[in-house]
Amino acid sequence: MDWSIFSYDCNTMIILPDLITILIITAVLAMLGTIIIFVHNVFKSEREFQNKEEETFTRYRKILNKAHNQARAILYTTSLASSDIISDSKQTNQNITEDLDKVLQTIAQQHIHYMNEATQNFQKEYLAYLADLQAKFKEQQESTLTMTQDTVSKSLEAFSQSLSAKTVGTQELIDKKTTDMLEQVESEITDYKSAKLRKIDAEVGRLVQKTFQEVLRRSIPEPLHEELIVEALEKAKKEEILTL
Amino acid sequence: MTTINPNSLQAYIRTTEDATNFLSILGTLSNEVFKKNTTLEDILEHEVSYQKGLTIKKIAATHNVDLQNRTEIPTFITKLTETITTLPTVHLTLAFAPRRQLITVISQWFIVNFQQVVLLDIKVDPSIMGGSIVEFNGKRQDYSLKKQAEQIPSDKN
Repeated sequence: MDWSIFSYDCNTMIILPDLITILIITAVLAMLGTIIIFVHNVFKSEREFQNKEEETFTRYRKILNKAHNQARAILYTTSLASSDIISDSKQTNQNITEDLDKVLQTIAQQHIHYMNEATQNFQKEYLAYLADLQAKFKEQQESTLTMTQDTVSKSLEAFSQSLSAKTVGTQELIDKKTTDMLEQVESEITDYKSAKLRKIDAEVGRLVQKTFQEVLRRSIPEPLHEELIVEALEKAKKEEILTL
Repeated sequence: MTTINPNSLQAYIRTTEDATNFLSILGTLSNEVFKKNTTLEDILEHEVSYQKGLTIKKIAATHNVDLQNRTEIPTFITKLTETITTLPTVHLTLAFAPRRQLITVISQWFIVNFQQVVLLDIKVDPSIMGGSIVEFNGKRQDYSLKKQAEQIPSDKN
């Protein structure tokens, strides 16, 4: 709202009153009154709220004071009770300790007894189980030993038979091989001896011939040569080389 | 004169060399004998050695050939040549070169054993050491000492 104008208008309005202006002013006044009423109501409500709140605080405070007092009383009572309890508890504790010792001793004795008994029972059962196990093990061992002996005996017998068969076959093979090798070696030795003997004979013959040649050439007298030639002719005639 | 006895040549012709020489002389004589104004004796005197000439004269005398008769000489030469060339030849291999005496012995051995004169074709091979290799008419046999020596080791086998 432009108040300057309004004021101007107011001046003017004063000068020239108008219905609209009056209405506006009335409306404004009404609005102001409404606002004032509203604010008043608000303040009133606030005040009432504050009063209520204060009352509530007061009530709370009373309650708290009462509670505090009650708590203090309780604490006091409790303190007294606890003192009694503590004094009683000391006695009780002593009694309890003594009783507990007795109970514990009893329990321990019972436990020991039970443990001894359980141990004895367990030992008996263990020994019995051990004896049974030992017997079973022995039986199993004997059975296994018997089976092993049987198996070993059979295997040995089979192996022995196989070995015997193979040994016989191998022996025959070896004998044959040995015989063949011996024959071959003997043949080779014979061939070698023959070759050597032929070589020796050839060498001896060559030496004999050379010796003959050297010796006879120098030592044969002419009459002997003549005799040998005539002898050759006689043989040639006899063998019919000469057929005149 | 019909034939010439080969045995009559035994004293003169024993080896193939003798026969060759003799045939050579006979060839010469055959050529010279037809020349005029010459006799066989003249030819023997001038063309051949005294020994050979004497031998021919002896052979001629043995067979009653008159060397002065020019008509008989060609026939004599021809028949003598034929006789020599038809003599059988025996090939002998000896260990040494034989002396004449040994050749005579061998030649006489043939006369004695076969009643026949042969021509000896002698070769020398010292390696045979002794004895002889005899070859006749394509047949050959070794009778040498070398051969016998070779048989010693083989006899052992």
